[in-house]
Amino acid sequence: MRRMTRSAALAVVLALVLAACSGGGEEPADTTAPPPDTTAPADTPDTTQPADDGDTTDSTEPEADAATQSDILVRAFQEEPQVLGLDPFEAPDYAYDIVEVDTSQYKKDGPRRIAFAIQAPEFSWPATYNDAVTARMEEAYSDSELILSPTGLGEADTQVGTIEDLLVQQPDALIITPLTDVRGPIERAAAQGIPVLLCTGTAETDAYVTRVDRDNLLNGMLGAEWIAREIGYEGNIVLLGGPAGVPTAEARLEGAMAVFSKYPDINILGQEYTNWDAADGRTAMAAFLTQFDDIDAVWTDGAGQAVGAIEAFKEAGREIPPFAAEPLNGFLRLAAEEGFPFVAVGYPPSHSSQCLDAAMAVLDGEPVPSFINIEVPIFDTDELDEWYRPNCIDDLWLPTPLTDEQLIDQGMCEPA
Amino acid sequence: MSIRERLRQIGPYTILLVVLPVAALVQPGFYRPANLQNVVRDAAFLAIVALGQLIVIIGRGLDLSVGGVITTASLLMVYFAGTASGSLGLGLASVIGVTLAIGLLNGLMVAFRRVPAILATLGTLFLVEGVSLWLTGGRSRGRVPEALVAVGTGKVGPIPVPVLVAAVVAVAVAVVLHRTTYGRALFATGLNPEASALSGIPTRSVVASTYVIAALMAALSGLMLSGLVGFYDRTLGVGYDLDSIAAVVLGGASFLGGRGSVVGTLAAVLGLSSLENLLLLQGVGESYQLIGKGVVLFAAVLFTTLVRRRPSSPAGRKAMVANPPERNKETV
Repeated sequence: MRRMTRSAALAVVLALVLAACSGGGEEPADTTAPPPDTTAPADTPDTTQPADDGDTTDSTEPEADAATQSDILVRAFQEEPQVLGLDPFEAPDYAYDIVEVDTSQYKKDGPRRIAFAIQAPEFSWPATYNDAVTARMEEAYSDSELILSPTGLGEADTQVGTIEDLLVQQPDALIITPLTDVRGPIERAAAQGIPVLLCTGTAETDAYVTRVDRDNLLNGMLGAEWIAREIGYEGNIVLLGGPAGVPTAEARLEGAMAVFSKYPDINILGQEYTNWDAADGRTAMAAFLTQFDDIDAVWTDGAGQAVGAIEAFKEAGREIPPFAAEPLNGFLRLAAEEGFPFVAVGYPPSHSSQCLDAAMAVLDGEPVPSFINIEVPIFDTDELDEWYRPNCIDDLWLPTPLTDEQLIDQGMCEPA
Repeated sequence: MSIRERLRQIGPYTILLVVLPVAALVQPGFYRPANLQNVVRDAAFLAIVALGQLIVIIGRGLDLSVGGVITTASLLMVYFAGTASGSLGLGLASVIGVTLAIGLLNGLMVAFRRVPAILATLGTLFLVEGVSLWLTGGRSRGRVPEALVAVGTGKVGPIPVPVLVAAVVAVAVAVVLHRTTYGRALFATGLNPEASALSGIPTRSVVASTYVIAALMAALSGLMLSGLVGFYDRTLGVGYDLDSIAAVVLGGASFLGGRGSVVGTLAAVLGLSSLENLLLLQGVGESYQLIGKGVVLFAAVLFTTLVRRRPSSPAGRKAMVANPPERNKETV
């Protein structure tokens, strides 16, 4: 909550300085459709294995090779709810609009230079995101060069300049994790003949080749539908979203609202943006708890605010209701300790490696889909034991691309 | 006492005077005991930071690094005390050591190298965040120790522990500012550093010490905050820099130094916390929340600056000469 006053406080401070001196949404319908040319979808390596290699959603398993990416996304809407025993969703119109992109013009043999305007490893999610792409590069493309140029969330307005600097280095392909409006550099790169791929995020232009991301509308719907069933399609709920105006968070919220609006007996007591932040989640939930005596479930789109909200329930001495969140080890620890029902719908940071694979496919001249929907882990209370890693830190996103040995070496887990 | 002076004394309470009646009219839930506990506890964290900021501002400075100190203190404690091989003592020692280093760096840069405070503390903020990132790779390695959770979430009777801690800190700051030689030297340095130096006050040391105190108080707040949240949070300190400055100045301090009030600062902090809580309880959209906060803050600022401004009429100036504003008076 405190950051929400930041802008106003800045204005106040500036006004006071002057006075003293003088007087004393990710758009879910984004089809991201560059020039069409239909062929086969790109492979999407499986990154959704739990700690003991148990099953997860299989909506993008290799048997879908002959299908188009549209088929895969439509099937994701239909099949992923069934992982949780829910009825299939109707796929949105944009799921049918994905096309294959001819990339033969970008074909380049031999060692390649891939530039990646990536989110800075400021906290565990982007740190894993960075590690995963670096590891994938070493593992599969060691003869090529990867130039990482990070931008922090707090300096997102500098990302355009960062990308311009990368373009000067004339990479063979440019991957961008958009943190701000990057239409300009994308279009300039395209004009220079450099293929651009978006990895986690969107841009208001069609000058890029493909976008590798998760359909976040679907993520929001999955958690909401599970919550609705869990409370018998009636009751009082609270929604804690991510950062206001961030496309990923807005799409998830839109998905959740679409589900809850189907059930007239579900009453949304309150809704608050909490920046995926534990402190903000705690503050918001503490306020709701003083105001409402009956909260039957909490929908969140991120593990951070969920952890804070659970702490608020604990402090208030109230029974923790069903939660929808993400598979962060700290959230799973609380679920194990407190025993509340939950669903976890993932957004694994390790999917950055898939972005690199897609870039290499483009440079191989292979056709790629205009949107590649990544696989995510989806599980509920029944699979807690398969996913929770009690010997590891709270700040571990699951699934992790790191081996047990690497986790121990990096101090993230104790030997089991 | 002139009307203007009376209004000036009301200034720090402006937000409270707006929020409390409005809350009674539109949101009775605001006055539920449990909610009031939340309000005063949230205020306690900011109050401790703001009281540190008050000391800096009285000395004619500014500290933008307090938010970074909050996050760093939390990170260090989790890193060194939240693992099987760590200990609370090691965590506390690391927090105190690093915080002292940050405060000293700020103080030396501002007081002895004459670097503008806004630049020196901004540089420190970047440095602290960079070192934290380098040390951790962006990941926290442990968990918040239970002892901190007990402090952050505990209550003594109906009163949250952080509120008690903030009260102790406030009394200590008031005593130091108004009952010690150091406090008098600080006010004098803020009012007129040259004259103070000529009169034998070690002004550079006094100014440098304010940054050390502010850093230590921010670290204290950060430790309790991480206990409250129960989870390492990279953004724990975000916003505390500007909010603390706003609270101090709304509380009656001046960027020109030499003026400031502990009670005024606490009133402004409580006002800001109440405002946030009321808007949250009202359930208005994000955009309206921001607009509401902006409007109330600007109204408070306008009121404060208007009653501080020199009168423009000759009669008013005469009245001011006859009854000068108590700029030099050290009000608690």
